[in-house]
Amino acid sequence: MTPVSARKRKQFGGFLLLCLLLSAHVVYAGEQATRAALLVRELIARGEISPGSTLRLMVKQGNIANFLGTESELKARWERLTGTFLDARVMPQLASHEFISNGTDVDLTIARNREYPDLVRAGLLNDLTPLMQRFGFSLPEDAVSGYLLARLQAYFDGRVYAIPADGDVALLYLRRDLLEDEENRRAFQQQYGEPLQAPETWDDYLRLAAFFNHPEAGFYGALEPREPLTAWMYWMPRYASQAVPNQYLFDDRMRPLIASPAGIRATENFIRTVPYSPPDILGAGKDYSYTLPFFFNGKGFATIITLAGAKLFNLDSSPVKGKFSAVPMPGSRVADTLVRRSTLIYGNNLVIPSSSRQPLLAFLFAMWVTDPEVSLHAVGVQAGFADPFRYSHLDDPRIKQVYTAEVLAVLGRSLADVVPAGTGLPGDDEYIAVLNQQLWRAAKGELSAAVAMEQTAEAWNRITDRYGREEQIRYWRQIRGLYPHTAHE
Amino acid sequence: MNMWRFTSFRKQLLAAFGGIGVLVMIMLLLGNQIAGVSIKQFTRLISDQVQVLASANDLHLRIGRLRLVEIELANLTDYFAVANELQTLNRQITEFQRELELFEQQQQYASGAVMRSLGRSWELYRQDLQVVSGYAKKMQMGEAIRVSSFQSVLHFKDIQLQLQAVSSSMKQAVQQAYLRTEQEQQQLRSGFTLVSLLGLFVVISFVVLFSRSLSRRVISLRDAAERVSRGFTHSPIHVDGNDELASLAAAFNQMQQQVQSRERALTEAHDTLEMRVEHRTRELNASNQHLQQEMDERRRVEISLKLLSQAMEQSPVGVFIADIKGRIEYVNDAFVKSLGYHSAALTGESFLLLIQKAIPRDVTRELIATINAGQEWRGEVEVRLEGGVFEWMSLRIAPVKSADRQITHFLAIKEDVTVRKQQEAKILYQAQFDSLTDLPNRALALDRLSHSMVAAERHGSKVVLMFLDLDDFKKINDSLGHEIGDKLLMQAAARLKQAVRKSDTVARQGGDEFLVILDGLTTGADAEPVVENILKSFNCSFLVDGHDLVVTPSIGLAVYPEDGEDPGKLLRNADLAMYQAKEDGRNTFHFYNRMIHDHSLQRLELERELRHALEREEMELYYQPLFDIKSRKLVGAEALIRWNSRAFGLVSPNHFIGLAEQTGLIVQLGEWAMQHACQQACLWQNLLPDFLMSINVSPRQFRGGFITGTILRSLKQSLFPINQLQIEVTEGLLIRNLPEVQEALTTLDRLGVRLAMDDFGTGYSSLSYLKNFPFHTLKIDRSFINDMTDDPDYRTIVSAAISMGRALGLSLVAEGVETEQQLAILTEEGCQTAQGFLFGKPVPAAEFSDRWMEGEVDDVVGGAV
Repeated sequence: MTPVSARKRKQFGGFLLLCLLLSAHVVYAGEQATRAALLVRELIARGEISPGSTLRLMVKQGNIANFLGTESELKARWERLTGTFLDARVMPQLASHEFISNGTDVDLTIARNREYPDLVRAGLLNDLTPLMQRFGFSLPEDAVSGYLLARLQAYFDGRVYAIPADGDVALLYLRRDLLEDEENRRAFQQQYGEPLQAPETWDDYLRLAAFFNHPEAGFYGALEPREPLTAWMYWMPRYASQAVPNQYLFDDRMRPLIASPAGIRATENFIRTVPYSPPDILGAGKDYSYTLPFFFNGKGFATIITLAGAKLFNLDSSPVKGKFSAVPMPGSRVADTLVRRSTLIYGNNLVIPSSSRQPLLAFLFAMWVTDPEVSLHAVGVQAGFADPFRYSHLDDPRIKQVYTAEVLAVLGRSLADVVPAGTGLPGDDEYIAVLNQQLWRAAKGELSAAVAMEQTAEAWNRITDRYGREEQIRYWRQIRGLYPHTAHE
Repeated sequence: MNMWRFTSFRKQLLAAFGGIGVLVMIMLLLGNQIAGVSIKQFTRLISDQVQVLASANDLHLRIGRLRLVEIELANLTDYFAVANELQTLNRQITEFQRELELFEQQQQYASGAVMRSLGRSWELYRQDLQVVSGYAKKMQMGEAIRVSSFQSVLHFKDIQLQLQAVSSSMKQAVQQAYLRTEQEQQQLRSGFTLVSLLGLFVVISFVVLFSRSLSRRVISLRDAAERVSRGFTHSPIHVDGNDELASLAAAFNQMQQQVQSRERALTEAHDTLEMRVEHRTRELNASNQHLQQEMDERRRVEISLKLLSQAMEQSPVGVFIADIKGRIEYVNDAFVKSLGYHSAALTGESFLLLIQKAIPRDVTRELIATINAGQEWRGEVEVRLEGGVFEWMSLRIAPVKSADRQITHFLAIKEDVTVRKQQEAKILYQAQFDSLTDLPNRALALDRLSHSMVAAERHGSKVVLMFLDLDDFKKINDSLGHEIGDKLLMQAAARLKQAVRKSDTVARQGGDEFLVILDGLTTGADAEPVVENILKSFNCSFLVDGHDLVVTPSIGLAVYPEDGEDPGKLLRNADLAMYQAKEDGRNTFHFYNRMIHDHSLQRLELERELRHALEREEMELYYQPLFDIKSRKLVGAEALIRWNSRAFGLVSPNHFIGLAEQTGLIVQLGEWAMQHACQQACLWQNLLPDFLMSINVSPRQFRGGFITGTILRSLKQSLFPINQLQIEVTEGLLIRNLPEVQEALTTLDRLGVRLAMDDFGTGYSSLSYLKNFPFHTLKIDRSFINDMTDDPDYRTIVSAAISMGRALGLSLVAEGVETEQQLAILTEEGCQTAQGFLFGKPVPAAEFSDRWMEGEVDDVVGGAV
């Protein structure tokens, strides 16, 4: 074959490929996905990606199906479109920091929102900003198909380090059938002088927990974990709602604000659910895997979990299917204003480790799989805990069928109340570990709420000094800007 | 075998090999059939075996994977992964069920009891899996683990055991099948071996019998032939059979009879021949002795000739021998190499033609005459060789005569004398040229001067000898050294050569003195431009080894024959004139002849003044009126330039116009005259609307193509009508027929300027000029007008000129009209316009206005006359 004919054949092949991709765009994918797949082909043609490369994706057991699709349909489509291979594996049960720093055979993995600062500081993550610019991608936040919380899920220090892939906003789940039960309504009215309804404040929530708590019958009023690794998730919504617009963790000089009446109130409310919880609720490791089966099997009134909870409770095998509701997180009434706050308690977003051997391919796969249309197939998978992360997901019939329309609507209303996960600062692991420990001890009755907060504040000051107060102040100013600016009611 | 003896060998061999071939083919087909059956049996056996084992192994793997998924499901901590694991588990169950059914259908080795047992175990395990799935769906992982650990594990192990039993059962069945197949193949191999041995025996028997029959009769023939070859006679051999061998034996018997009879005849002939040979041998021995003597003699002669030939070949002197017709028969290497030819190319060529090409014709004629007369010719000639190289050779050609004195050949001997000739030329050059400046030396200069003087004598021309001495050269030589001095002389010599004409001789007299010989001059003054060139060429300083040196020459000039009739005297007088130039202040020249010298100085002075004449406003235009002869009215004027020098007073145009043309100043003067004449004409045109202004234009003004611009500028500045301006040119302008002149005249004509040919009749008076150039007016020279009243010939000329001009449609102007008689003749001949003292001499503009622009012409003319 002459060079000319080879070139012509190559051009013709490119034309065919373009036609194929365009048709694929019409049938399956949106513009973002089409462009990502085309770019892979182009980079292969230019030698920046080797033909037949394998992308090593490592995610958690609970969400691997979200990236491969039902019956690995997404995997097959990606491989067909790009001519590359996808090797998806389940990551070990380790914290992201430990896993990424020890892993050498991972091109693309997941990390939680609050983990970025420490991962970046350790040099373990690739800065995706240059790739965004090079390939012309952005993280839109428009209400049609934009990312729900890109500002909270993708950035650190003004740079993009993650592609949002899981909108893990915490919601409160209640037994709607019990709330609507006439006998219960009469009894509650009689007992509290108020109608039985979904809680507005955390105090309302405590009353409901007490009302529905029947441990003698194996039924509990509050199914919130109180173990030492996840305590902050259930404390943070209580704390952040203590002031208008927010009760911040630090002041402008990074002095902790938690050793305050607001901090104490939040902590006390956190502790007061313990009597309405299952007996082993304070045991180490009793996280949502302990509380969730209670609610799933109809043995509790309320629980706090991400949107994925609805996916489980809506299964045919669950006794609570059709009997539960998700409601906005309770808040605090500050003067005449009801301040509701929630947070991203898990959130498994796509990050590219610095050790990735295929950063370009990893980035383009991340853009492809989070495309507004492709991600419908990912989030819509029944067998995975990745939750809707784009506005387009909230209106999609398939997603509604999996999550229920009601839950998706509540999520939409709660988006304006979401505060950043954890502290959002370098050293977050240390800050949160201290807070978790003190909250756990307070829940166990070893400390008062006030002491727990004071000790936590002292420890936080030490951590801040160790990391450099001025530098932490700079970061904190950025994090603080991500908090909601207004209260709803 | 007897039957075979009555057929030919060819048929016998064909039948034999055909039989063997058929036998081999039967054996091959049989062998192939046996091998095919064997391969099929083994392939089927192995295929069945592998397929069954693969299926059994696949079941092993699948049940293992299923168990793994079951355990993973039961141990899940992340409830969100349950659904995914359940999907996987159900898929695995379905696939195992399908594989098991397929296995039951395909397998033929395991017993039915074993397979039934396996099916029961699988059913129990599948129920366990459903139980585990149910617990997992309810997030009752503890129960799921319990069932998986204590209940389903037993059924899983049962399945494994059943599968192992199936595998063992299959192995035994497969082994038996293998043994049966092996026995069958052993039987086939034995049968094939027996058939093969039988066929081999048949082939060997046939070959042995056939070869024995053949070899017996061939050996009988061979023995008979050997006996015949050894000369033994024998009774005829026995003829057996009817094939080719029997025919061969009969033919052999016949041949044996013929051989015996010929052998007898040959023996008799041999004896006779022996006797003859003996006689002839004796005769040959006598002849050989005689020949040997002759060969010895010839060898001696050949040695001698070879020696002579080698001497000739290796001689450095070129030699050739030609026959009586001049064709070269022999030529040696030295001759060939010297001419640049090949010997093969020369042999057979005419040496006369060769010589004619190389040497002058007169020499060739002399040579041919000499050798034809039977005499030897000698000479030295310069020969042009192949490649254009010249060589001097000494040539000697002598006739070779036979014993009876007849010329049979020509012998030529050639010797290269180029080196000697070059040395002679070098000596001659050194004797005639100065080694430092490469100029002719004094001796050669005087020799050339002598030749120039002889030529001048013959042609009546002049020769000027310049004696040039460098001023203050001695100081430079003494202060900067001889080396600098020598280099300065070399540069001075170069400048001198550039300042003179190529035909002139520049020579070094000696020291810092040089001679310059100018010949072919009309007057001694003709040397002045050359002298000025030389003086100018020394105006620039000399840069010698970083020294900026100013050197000027003092030049003395002597003219032959006025200043001396022999070279020595002319040289001496030029030397004296040079000393006079030194006394005049150096950097100048001085003629030995006083008159020439004065004239020359005056001319130089005149030139110096002329250069400043315009800026000093010493130039003035005079105007001579032009009158219509018939009406006697003024029609115009001819502008004439006059120089009123502050140094020389009123200078005649005859003196300064030529000088201005030589120096190029005429261009400025011409432009000035054109501007002023046009301005003046414009004033007069107000009084006389058809006023014609005629102006002379020098040929020098046409150089460079500026004349058109000059005229147009003047007309534009003055506003004088272009068709009333007339420019006058002489034939001298037209002789060289320069394109730029042709172009300028054509342009001026196209613009409307009138062109007049001045002084017609004094030059070539070529009619072609009048035809080829756009003239409007013909001006008849005053010399014809002056004499036409006295000389009828001149009148005829004037008449012819007027007729010709009229015929060509030209206006006619008669110049120098001074008398009424002349005017009458011109009137009679039909000339239209006249100018001359009869009407008025050239006068300044103011006077012209007073006299002619404000009065009646008749009065004026009458007054003038």
